[in-house]
Formats: sequence, structure tokens, C-alpha cells
Amino acid sequence: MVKAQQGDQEAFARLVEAYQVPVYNLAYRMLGVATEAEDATQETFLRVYTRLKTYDPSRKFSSWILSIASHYCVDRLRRRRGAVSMEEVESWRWMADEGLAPEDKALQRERDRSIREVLATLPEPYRLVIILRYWHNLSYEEIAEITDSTESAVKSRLHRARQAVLEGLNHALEGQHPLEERKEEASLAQRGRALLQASLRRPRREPL
Amino acid sequence: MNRPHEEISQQISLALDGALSLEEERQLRAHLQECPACATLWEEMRGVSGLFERPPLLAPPPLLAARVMRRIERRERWRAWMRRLAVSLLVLILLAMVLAIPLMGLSTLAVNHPALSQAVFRALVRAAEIAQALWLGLGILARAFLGRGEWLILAVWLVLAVAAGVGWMRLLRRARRIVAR
Repeated sequence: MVKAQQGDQEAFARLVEAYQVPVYNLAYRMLGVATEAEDATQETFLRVYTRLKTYDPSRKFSSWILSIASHYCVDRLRRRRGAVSMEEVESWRWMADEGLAPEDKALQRERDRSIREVLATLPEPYRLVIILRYWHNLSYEEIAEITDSTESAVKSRLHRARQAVLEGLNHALEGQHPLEERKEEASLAQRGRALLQASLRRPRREPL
Repeated sequence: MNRPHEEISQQISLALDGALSLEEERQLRAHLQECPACATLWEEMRGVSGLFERPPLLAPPPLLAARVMRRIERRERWRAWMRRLAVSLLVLILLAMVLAIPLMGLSTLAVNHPALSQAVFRALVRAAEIAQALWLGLGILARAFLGRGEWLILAVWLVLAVAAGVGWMRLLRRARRIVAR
């Protein structure tokens, strides 16, 4: 880190290698499109490079990088005009999950599709806290640092985000979704129901 | 059951993140046991949380890091070039200023000695004539070897103009990109 700050490009290349997975996945979940996520990741690291000298070592480095990435993605979403078409991601591009059997790859793709659809319906601030909480496994404090807000704001935003997801799924289940007439949306409703049930059946980590 | 639904909903969200104290957790559990509506909400919220738990991670494209480094190298080269340009300009300005001091003396000299200034002027005219002769000679040579001298000269000029235009546009674009950053 110190070497990279002094302008050592090899050291910076190692930083890129180390942080590309979290940055890329944040961008992918925020933007919903793999090609845009790649571009956003590149831009994020360019910004990291140019601002490296302003990095305050008292801050956690990963939080600092994720904060730059999330600001960039939010800006990009604001500049985006019109709807983007979702493209399918090839199955080999999913990272190995120790709990996943090879035959579950198709299921994982299906799950990714559902997650993308659910996230796409969420307003950006909600989407961001959900991603930071679940994909990056961060604490309220870290999420607050990345999103320039307070812990209590993060708590309430996560709560509202979960409520919004639940409402969206309920709408889909009840067939009240405005786009329900379209065939794909009916499948969203079915997937939503299946996912909700599947995740309810799964053993919880924090039984109450 | 007396507590407002919204507050329970918030507590459920906190419980899902493991952010409740033991006492708060006990209170919530007690409430869920006696309030079916909140118990349903708890199950549903658990479902929502389950949707995102252990989420699938996408591997970045294999050459992503290399592409980032290539862009950084290009940027560094460009910055080094700009630095060199700035230094050269500074040196040129300094040189011009240093040269201007004796030139100021020269101008008064020229006013006082008209013959000297006429000689300098004649020398400049001669230099221009030599340049013109060289250019004409080039044209004659080109015509002699290729038969169509005018076209060749025109083509060379066009290539030079296009190159200058493209170079200028690229310079502008880079400058704009740097300003945007």
C-alpha cells in the first residue's frame, strides 16, 4: 500500500488484483450488467490511482475503495438514460462456491437472475446497502463509512430496503405487478414465490 | 402486541443482522409468540434475507487487472509528456526573455544605423528566396521522377494537413478527459 502510494506501479497492480473481486461484484450488482461492471471497475481503479496520495491510512483501505466504487456507480446510474437490457452471464464466470455442487450451476444462474430483477426494482440507496451488507458482509459502521452516512441511517435504510423487497415480491405474487401481463413477469412471480419458500426452508444462522 | 407494527418491523431487521442485545431479542421473541401478524412478518423478512444470503459472486474478466494497468501506464506516459512540454515551454519563454534584452539594444542600434537594418532585411529576403528556390527545385525533381509533381506536392500537403488535424483533435480530446477528471 505504502509502495503503491509512492508511485510503485507493480505494488498498485497487486492492489488491483487483491480488490478486483469486491469492486467488480459491487459494480455488477449496482449496474446489473457485466460489461458495464467491467468498465466501472476500471474507472474505479483509475480514480483510486489518482487519489492514492489523498488516502488517509486511519481509514480501512477496502472501505475507501468501495466508497469510490459506490460513488462512481451511483453517478453512472444517474447519467444512465433509458432501460438497459440484461444479458445472461456464462456459467463458468461464477466463482467457485464450496457449498455448491456442479449441477447446481443452472440453479445459481436462475438465482442470479432473480436477484438482479429484485435489485433492479430497488432505489439506488437501498440497493447499495443491501449489496454492502450481503455481498461484502460489512457491519453497519463500515457501511455508514462507505456511504457517508450514520449507523442509524444505515439501519433504517436496510430495514426499508428489506421492506421494499418484500413488497415487490408480494406484488409479484398477488399479480399486481404493473407489468404482470407480460409473460416474463409471471415467471418473476413464480420465481419470487419459489425463492421465498426455498429460503424459508433453509436453516437459519440466527434462530430466534 | 401494544407496540406499533413499524417498530417491530425495524427490530426484525436488526435481528436479521444479529444487532439486537440479548434482552431485546428475548422481548422480540416474546412478542412474536403472541402476535401472529408480526410472526408472519418475521418469516417473510427471513425469506427476504435468505434471498441474498451467500450470494453468487461473479469472477472478474481474466484481463481486467491488466487492462487497468495498461490504462494507468498510458496515463503516466501522457503526464510525463505533458510535463516535458511544460518544461520546454518554460525554457523557451526564459530564453526569449534573455534574448529580448540584447535585442532591445539592437533595435535602438538599427534606428541609429539605417544601413545595418537594411543589411539585415536584405539577408532575410535572400533567405526567403533560397527557400523558394529549394521548393521549386523539389517540384522540378518530383515532376522529373514522377511526372505529376503538382499532385505529389498536393498529396504531401494533404497528408501533412490531415496528420496535423488528427493530432490536434487527439490533443484536445486528451486535454478534455484530463480536465473532466
